[in-house]
Amino acid sequence: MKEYWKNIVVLLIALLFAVLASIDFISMQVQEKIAPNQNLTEVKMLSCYSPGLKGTDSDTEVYVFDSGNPGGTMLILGGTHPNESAGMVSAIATIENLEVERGRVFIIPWTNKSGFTHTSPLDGMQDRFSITLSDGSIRTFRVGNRLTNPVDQWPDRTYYEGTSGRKLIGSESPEIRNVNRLYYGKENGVLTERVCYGIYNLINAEGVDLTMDMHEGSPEFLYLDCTMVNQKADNEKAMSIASSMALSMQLDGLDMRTEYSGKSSYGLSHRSLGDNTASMMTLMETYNPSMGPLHGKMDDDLIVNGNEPNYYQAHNEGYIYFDVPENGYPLAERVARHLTCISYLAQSYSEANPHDAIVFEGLGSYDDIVEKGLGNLLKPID
Amino acid sequence: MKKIIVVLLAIALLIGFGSCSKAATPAAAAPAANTPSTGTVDSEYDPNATVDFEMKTSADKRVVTIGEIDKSLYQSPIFVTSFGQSTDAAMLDTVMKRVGIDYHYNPTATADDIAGSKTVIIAVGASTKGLGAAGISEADETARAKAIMKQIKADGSQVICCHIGGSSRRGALSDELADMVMKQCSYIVLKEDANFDSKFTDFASAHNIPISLIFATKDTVSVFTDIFK
Repeated sequence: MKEYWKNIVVLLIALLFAVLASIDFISMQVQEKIAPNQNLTEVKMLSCYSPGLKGTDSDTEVYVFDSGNPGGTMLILGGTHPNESAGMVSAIATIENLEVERGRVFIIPWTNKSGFTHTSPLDGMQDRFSITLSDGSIRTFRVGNRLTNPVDQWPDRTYYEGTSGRKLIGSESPEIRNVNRLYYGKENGVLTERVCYGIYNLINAEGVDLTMDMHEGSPEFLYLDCTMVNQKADNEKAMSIASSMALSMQLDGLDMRTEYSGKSSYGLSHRSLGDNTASMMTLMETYNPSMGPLHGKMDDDLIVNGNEPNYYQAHNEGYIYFDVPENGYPLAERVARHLTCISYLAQSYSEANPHDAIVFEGLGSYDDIVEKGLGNLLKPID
Repeated sequence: MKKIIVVLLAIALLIGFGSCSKAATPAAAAPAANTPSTGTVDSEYDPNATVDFEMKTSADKRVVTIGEIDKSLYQSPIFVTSFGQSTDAAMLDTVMKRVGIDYHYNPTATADDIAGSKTVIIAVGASTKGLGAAGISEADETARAKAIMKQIKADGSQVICCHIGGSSRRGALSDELADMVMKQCSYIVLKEDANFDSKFTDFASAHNIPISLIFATKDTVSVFTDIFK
């Protein structure tokens, strides 16, 4: 009898840990709040454009700013890869500060919403980071996984061929949960394909002229100072517009170049949405030291301050192409870079297409954002 | 013994639950963990092409010109084109707009298109992605370049060789096109990190061609403003 009770106690302790772990796991489904902006016109769900998403964990908010004045339409994607934090924070900062004067702007901050509900297991990942605002309040954001949560889409097929022609075989099979491999999606496909289809259909239904997909990459990545551009035969202005943006950023002292979208980048937003919609597609990366294999302890200092001595040393020894600053590459600088790129891209687009101009204010200058920090850019939540 | 096994099993169970707290199934773990965001683009750029050498330009000294430039040579009409279909031509187009002068721009211009131009500015630098986007093969691009240089020679036009993409625009095709242009040019503008082997400065020195070394692509604006305004 005594042995029986010991077994019960051990099982209850195990159950307690399981419950605590489950609470932690489920808490990842509580998404960030967004401070109200009086200029916001409407919040739609992506399922309006992809009915197969309705009721799923991947149905995500689409924030709409309509100036009421004629002009072009811009789509801004953040959180395509939820572990690339600058994309989501840039999108949220845009929603909280934007004031559109001409045309319309659509913003999706959690493009792969399911991906925000889990992290990379056994990888020492931090699931959240915090930013202190100017009023002393603290806002917390999630660090998710670049792939859809397997709770929502599983198992991964061992062979897959997407609408773009991209094939995923063997070890690549988990990429079937990567939004930025499955464009232009499929209406009744796997969950991640339905997300891609929603964005594809949104672009077509709303007549989106210009799209920016915001990403981050590890410091080993080669395209961190670059915007990828899909130059199509029917949109010869695309590279000219992007070059104008890049030169404006260079004249502000920011490294930026442009590169043609790779012909074989099947399933990626800049390639497959560019090829299959009328929108001018661009994709931009910033350098995130928490994503590379050389990063040390995962904490707020690494994610928010971008401080990683290992990468500075690797850069000094000639192993890193990207210029790694000694004092790190803070999230505020990465967000400022994304927002500056968005502003100049819209400005260049408007100069080239004056009848379909997209004019907005409120995002601030690069120097202003860096100097005052994200605590000033992001708004307090009541 | 039985007690030890029970304790070990309990610990294993706890570790198992603990590791599951961050993901639903082990199937998600292995392939995705710590995967850098490479694959967003198809890499064709070799960063190892950059070799350490002593630069004459710097963030403080952005343009260094070697030789005397005769600005009176560069008259209108001005034509801007690309040899190699890299994004540098679009950047040069943007630069010319900022300079604020009249010019014609066509990255895939034919020899007929440039006929009659008194000044031809050529953005040199090959990009397989750019050639692919333009639907032009390397052989066709080389043939187009040769035809344009032949037309320029016939017209007696002035040529400015513009290599503003840096070390990433060095390679067999880029160098072949650069050699073709440099033989007929009267001025070279070069982003200096492309000169790691002194190829451009050596050629300019040997043929008495003025060359402006620039630190970054944006410095092309000040160089051309000085030439054309």
